[in-house]
Amino acid sequence: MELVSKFPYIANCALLILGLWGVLSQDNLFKKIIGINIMQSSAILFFINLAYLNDGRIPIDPKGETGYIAPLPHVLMLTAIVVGVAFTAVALSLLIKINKGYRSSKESVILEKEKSKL
Amino acid sequence: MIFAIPLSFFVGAVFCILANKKITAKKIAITFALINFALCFQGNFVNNLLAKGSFGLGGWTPPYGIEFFAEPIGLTFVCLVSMIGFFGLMYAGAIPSKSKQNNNLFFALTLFLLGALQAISLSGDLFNIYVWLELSSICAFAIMGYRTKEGAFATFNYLLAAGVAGVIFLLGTGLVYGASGTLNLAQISTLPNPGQSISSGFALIITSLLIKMALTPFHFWLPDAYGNSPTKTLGVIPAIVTKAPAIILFKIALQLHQNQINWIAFEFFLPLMGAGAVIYGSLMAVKQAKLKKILAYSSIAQLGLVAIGIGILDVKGTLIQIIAHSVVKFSLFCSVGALEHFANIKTIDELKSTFQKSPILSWVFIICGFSLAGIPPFAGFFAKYYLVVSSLEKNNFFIVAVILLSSLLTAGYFLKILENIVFTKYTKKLKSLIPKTIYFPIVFNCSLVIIFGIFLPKLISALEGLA
Repeated sequence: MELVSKFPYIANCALLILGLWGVLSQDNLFKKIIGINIMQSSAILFFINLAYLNDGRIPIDPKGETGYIAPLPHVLMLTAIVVGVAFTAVALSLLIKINKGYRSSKESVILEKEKSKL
Repeated sequence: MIFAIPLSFFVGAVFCILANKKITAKKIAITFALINFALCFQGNFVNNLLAKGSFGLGGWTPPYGIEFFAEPIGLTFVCLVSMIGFFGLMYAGAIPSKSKQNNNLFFALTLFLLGALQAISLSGDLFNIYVWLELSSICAFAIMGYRTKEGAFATFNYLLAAGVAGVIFLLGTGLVYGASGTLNLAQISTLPNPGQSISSGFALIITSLLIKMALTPFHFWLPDAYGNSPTKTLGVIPAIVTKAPAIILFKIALQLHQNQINWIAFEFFLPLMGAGAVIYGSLMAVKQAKLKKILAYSSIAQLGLVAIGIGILDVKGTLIQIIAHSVVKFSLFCSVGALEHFANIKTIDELKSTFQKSPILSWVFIICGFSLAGIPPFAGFFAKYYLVVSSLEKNNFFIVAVILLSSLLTAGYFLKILENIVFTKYTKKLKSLIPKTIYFPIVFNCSLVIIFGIFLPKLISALEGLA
């Protein structure tokens, strides 16, 4: 039971590490953006896990009873998702610019071209 | 009242997108920057800075609603952003643009960036700080990477670093929220016995701020990103974008260092990392040939001094260092940008006979170089003076040695520039290529370096003890 209740956090950790591995190890810049997106999802899921309650009700409750899921983290994560979308949009537009300029979106190729220019 | 300050930038940004031929984006941006400037510097300036108070957004009282919290450090930074923003926009307006569409978007994004930077230093709520930090970063990516492919690639590296830092900040916020049930910094600071998860949450938050302020192990994105950014952005971005995370870090440290953060560790690590930044940045600056790269590495070194000041929690030294460095770097980056854009001078060797070409910019280089090295009448001296005094009070001779070494190393790379500017023979006859309008923001900020040298210690001692 103890381990089962901790399972979502372990899954969060796994997602975070997967995303970080993607950012650090991948050669393709597009895959790096995907890595950051995975990391952002793990942070979002972390907040949702914090708010979760077993057998919890929705927070709109006319009877004023307790035992509902905390609404604030969900609201915060709506904003975080919007921030993530804006971030991804800027990242992709920069990537288009890079791809047009260097004719490649591989980091090793771009670094090679930068070096040969010097 | 206090909401009006960042709001004036946001309203201006919306109008900038709608700008047309008659009412250009440049005019709108400068008008709204002037409104912001007036709002920041109205009335009794020192009293404004001393104003303390919390303001709930939308009529919700702070523990439940979003809070804007006014206190001297944040307000000082708000005024700094307003001033640098105004002159940075004037500088950007003086550089001729190629396409109208890009121009509108450039000014709109710059205004959003400035507004977000002001809102960062005012907000007293962790999640809000996250949102403003991301907004300022996103605007910075967009205006830094829009011109060239090299700029786009360098900005992409910045984007990756800032993206990872943003996620780390969000996770830290989650840990703090999960353990304390609140996001409000003032409320967190009153918690009687915070546990392990709050201090580890703040450790994550501080790490993310260190990545965003480019302290040495995390500096990898800064030199290329500054070295390749378009000329127009050189007024705003290098001067204040990395200072905002530093200010947030300082605010959080001052508010929570007694109880919530395990500050003993940071008191040890921040000066150590700062010392690394000072030595590494200065040595790399000596090696560079491109002027923008020299200034970028010099920024890393100067941010190292800011980190040292935050580590020993010295209000005066840190604030003066942040203000002096912003003003100095504004003048230097703008002069380098003007030389590159109009006279095609990019490297140290091409600086020869600049003194004859443009004596004003040469004087700017000389004064700002002296201020960076910490020579007495200029602003940079007082930052180093207060840092040395307060580290002597704590018997920390390591920091004193680092600060004195930083003066020496700064002189090392700056004398190389000054040698080329001043002591080379007049070779070719070149008429003045640089338009007159570009001189005003540079010269004004450069004269501030001298004026601040005289008035800043007085202003800061008026603020002392109240921060």
